[in-house]
Formats: sequence, structure tokens, C-alpha cells
Amino acid sequence: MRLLIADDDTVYRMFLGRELTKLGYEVVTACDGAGALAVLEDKAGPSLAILDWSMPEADGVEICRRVRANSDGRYIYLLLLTARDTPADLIAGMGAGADDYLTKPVNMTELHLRVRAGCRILEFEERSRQLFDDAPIAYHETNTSGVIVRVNRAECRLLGCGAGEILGRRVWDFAVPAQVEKGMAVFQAAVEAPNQRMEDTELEMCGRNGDAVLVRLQQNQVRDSHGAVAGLRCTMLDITELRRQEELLKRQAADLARSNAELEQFAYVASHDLQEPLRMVASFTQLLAKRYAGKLDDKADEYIKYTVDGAKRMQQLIADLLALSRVGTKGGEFRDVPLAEVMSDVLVNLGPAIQESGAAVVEDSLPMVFADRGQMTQLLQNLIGNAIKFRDAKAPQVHISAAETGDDWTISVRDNGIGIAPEHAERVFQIFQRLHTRDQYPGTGIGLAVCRKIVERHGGKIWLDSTPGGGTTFHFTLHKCAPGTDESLR
Amino acid sequence: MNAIDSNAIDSGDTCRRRPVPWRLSGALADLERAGESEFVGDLIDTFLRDTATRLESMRQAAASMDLDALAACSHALKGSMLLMSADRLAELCCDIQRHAAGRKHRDYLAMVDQLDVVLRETREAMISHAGGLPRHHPPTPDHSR
Repeated sequence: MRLLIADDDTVYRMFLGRELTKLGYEVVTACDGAGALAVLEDKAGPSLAILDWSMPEADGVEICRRVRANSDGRYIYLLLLTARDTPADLIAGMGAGADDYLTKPVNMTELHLRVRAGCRILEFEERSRQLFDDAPIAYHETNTSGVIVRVNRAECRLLGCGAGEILGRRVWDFAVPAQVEKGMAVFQAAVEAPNQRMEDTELEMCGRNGDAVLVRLQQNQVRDSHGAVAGLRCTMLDITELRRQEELLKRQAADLARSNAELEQFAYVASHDLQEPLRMVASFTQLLAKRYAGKLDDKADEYIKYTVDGAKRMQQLIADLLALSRVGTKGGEFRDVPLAEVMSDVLVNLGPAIQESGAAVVEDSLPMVFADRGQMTQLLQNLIGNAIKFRDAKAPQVHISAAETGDDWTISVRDNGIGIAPEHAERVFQIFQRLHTRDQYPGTGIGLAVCRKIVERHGGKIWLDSTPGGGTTFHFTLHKCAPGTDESLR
Repeated sequence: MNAIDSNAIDSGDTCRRRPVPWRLSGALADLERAGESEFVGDLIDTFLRDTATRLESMRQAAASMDLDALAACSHALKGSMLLMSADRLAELCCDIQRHAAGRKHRDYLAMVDQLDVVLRETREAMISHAGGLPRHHPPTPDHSR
């Protein structure tokens, strides 16, 4: 640590210099006020000065006043040394900008402790300055007139100016012309506000090369020891790119929503309009099979059979596609739905399949959920239907359970079927994805896609746990009640 | 603290608390105990040279009744006198400063003469302590104009 001893008394300079050098300080001396000011004006000069009050050219108090008036951002700790020790002297010295005050004759221990305290303050000041200068966010301080009195490097980069071009000007001087008034108004509001911290505001500034920079401006009042507003401490976060990305994302989301809606509409119209001609094809090929079976040759019988099968499969495919498109476009209202009642409907609908397979379907106590009842029936019917369909030689055992998970219920449908390999765990929810041939397990590959779409429409998620040969458990979540509803009142 | 505290500027009574002839004490004694005898010798040497010069300035100010200059010069001398444990000198300076600052009508030339007498006594005591005639080491380099 370099320090200056300024005293016109040679004996004092020698004595203090010797003692402080012994304590490890690098000492520079000056024998008058002009010499002291010359040393302190050097940016590489000492940052702690011990100043005698009475000196030719400029006394210690005058030096304190000038150093504080010409601060270039570097803090110099000023310790006034004098034989004067009346309260009026102390007030005059400290009022001129001295940090500390020590009376002659000097007690070396006291001087050392005070210099050490000054060094600690300077270290803290230096750390604070580095944090300020090296902060990645633009930062400045103003007085109550809006004049910028301190600015960091990030703000210089943001505005494309050197600190010298920014200091002394007002924040709104850097706003784009259309935002100057807004800049003045938000500054004035922040200075006059009863709260120290203002709501963030957005301001468009002139950046480097004249480019507009959108910033989020945060303003905090700086208050003096009496609680009066002395200025503002402000940060400016460049949100130009963020806002551009947000706009892009919004546009993309809107495009995607429109595209999805169009696709759903297309799927609905196509599958709906295809039904009628297909029904005609299926009816007449079935009529053909009925009337002419065995009356033509074997090849003709075989071809008619293929045509009838194809038409039936196409009818099923179109029915399933229609069901999928209806999840989004023809969904019912959400209301409180007792899942136990839904299960009763499902068991009735799946009665023949359950009977034919010898399946045992067991359900735990099932909760009330906030859902579209028709779609809940379709969801559970698809999952339980799959549990029965994808079985091996054993009779199917299906277990339906529910567990509370925060604001949701997690419903699980567990079976003892053939299972699904982990690599297919996500694929099975995609439309037309089938893991088996039609001969092994018939179907269109749309059922689980419908399930996922229903669950997602309800704001939930669906997934599975499975081991090939060890059965599968499908889980899905549903909200317990409508958003904003207190469940305890239900 | 040394014999005279800083209230001495305004209080002649306090100044007269310990009018003793010069003897090594206070900070200088600490330095000697720390093995810094040579540096103490340098301080004595510098003090005696500086004080002689400033005494001449005081004499001129007293002759021309420039009481501001006389008070300032007395004040400046007092600091190093206290540091050097030259209590009697400091006491006399304190008196001159007090009277001059109060623009009192006094025989300031006589007071400076008295200061000169005590300075000679003090000088002898100091040289005797330092073990011979004062040395003339070059002063510490200063950043003056």
C-alpha cells in the first residue's frame, strides 16, 4: 500500500515516514500543499494520504476539498493530522472531505491502527469498484437532476461510448428521440417516489452505431444520511435479443396453433367425408360376396374376400382417425366426473371382450376428477382394451388404481400382458405406430395416440412402465378440480 | 501522549504543565529502545537545523509585528518540538502563538530571544545525548513544487 505523508515539518515527515515504512507501507512525502496535490492528482499515485492541516501553498483542509471535488472515480482515503482538536476544527476537517482525523503529537500505535482501518476501507472500496466496473450488467448512478455521475464498463459497451462521453450527461440524452420524454418522466417519477425501488420499465436507447437497444431499466433511490433522495442507482439490461426471440416464439406458436387447427379440421373433414363413399364400397362388396360367393371361380371369391377385408379395415381406420380429430375439435365440457361411474360404463362396453378373454378387471377406489366424461370413458376403454388385447397365453389381469400427487391424481392401469420394450415406450403414443403385425394383434395404431391427446387436452401427461413379458402399467395424471377451486369445499 | 496536549493552543495553564529541560522520552525513547539510535540522531540533527531556520523567521515576524506569520510559525514549530520531547520550547511557542493569535500587545522580540536561549540549552542537551556535534545528513527527498 502506497501512502502520502504531507507535512511541512521535516522532522514529522522523517519520523512518520520511517515508522510507516517499518510497518510495510510504501511512503511518498510532500513538504507543502502543492506537492501533495501533485502527488494525489496522479492516477497511479497513493490512495491514502496523511495530511498536515497547516502547510504552505494549500493546507490539509483545502487539499481534502480539492481531492473530493476532482474525484475521477478513484477513492483516496484522507487522514488529517493536526494539533487542532476542537469540535469546530473536527467538523471543518471532516466536512471538507477528510475520512479521519488525528491530533499531534502523534501516538504511533493510534496512527497505525487508523491507517490500517483506512486500508481496510480502501480494500472494500476497491472490491466494490471492481464489482461495479466488471459487472456484466450496465450500471450507472445519477444525481437528483439525472446527471450521470458514475458509469460502469458494461454500460459504456451498451451505449457504445467511453465513460467520458457519458459522465455529466443525463440518461434520457441516450434514449432514441421518441423515448426522450418517457426517459425524463420515469426518472422524475423514480426521484419523487415514496419507495426506494421502482417498477422496472422499458426504454429504447441509442446503442453503438446508432442501433436502437431496448433495455429494462431498474431504478433505485440513493438516500443520504438524512433519508433525502440524493440520486438514483440504475441498471440497464439489454433485452433487445430477448424481445426479438419472444416475438419470434409467439409468431411460431401462433403459426403452429393455426397449422394444428387446420390439420385437425382437415383430418375431421377428410375422415368424415370419406365415410359415406366407403360405406357404399363396403356395402356393395359385402353384397357382392353374399350374392356371388361360389358362383364365380375361386380366384374371384378370393379377390372379393380381400376387397371386403380392406373396406372393413379402412372403415375402422377412418373411424379411429375421426375419433382422434374429435378429441381436439369436438370435446365436451369439463366438469366433476366420478371415475368409478366411468369405469362402470367401460366395463359394460368391453363386456364381450372381457368375457371372451376371461379377463379379471379389478379397480381400487377411484376419485372424482375435473374432466370431459366422454373422453374419460374413451381413455380408460382404450387402455383396458389394450390390456386385454395384448395378452399372452395367460388370462388377462387388469388392475386400475389411483394415487394423489399434489394437485393431481395419477391413475394407473396395470396388466400382465406381453409388455413393451423400453425403446418403444415413447413410440407407442405416436399415430399409426404399431409394434406387431395385424395378424398377431389387429388394430390401426391410433388408440394410444388418442389417449395421449385426451390426457394432454386435460393438462396431464401419460407414460408407461413395462418389461417385455412382464406386463405393462400405463399412468396418466388428471387435475383434482378446476383451477382456482378449493378442493376442500367440494 | 507527550507532556503538552493539544489544548495547549488555547490554554496557557496546560502549556505550563511540565516545563522540564530536554530529556529523551516518548516516541524518541521508543525508537532508541528499538535500536534506532542512528535515526534518532538524524531526527535531532534535522530538528535543530529546521528550528534554527524557523526561529529566524519568527524573529523577523516579531520585529515587523506580523502577528499572523508569528502565530503560524509558532504553531508549525510546536508540532515537532512536542514530538522531540522539547517541552520547554513547545511551551514558549505555545505562549507566543496564543498571544499573537489573540493579537495581544507583547514584547515578542523578547519572547523569541527567550525561545532562542532555551533552544541553545536544548541543543546542548540533545547533542550531548547524540554523542557529539550535529551531523548534516541530506534531507529526505520531498515532492514540493
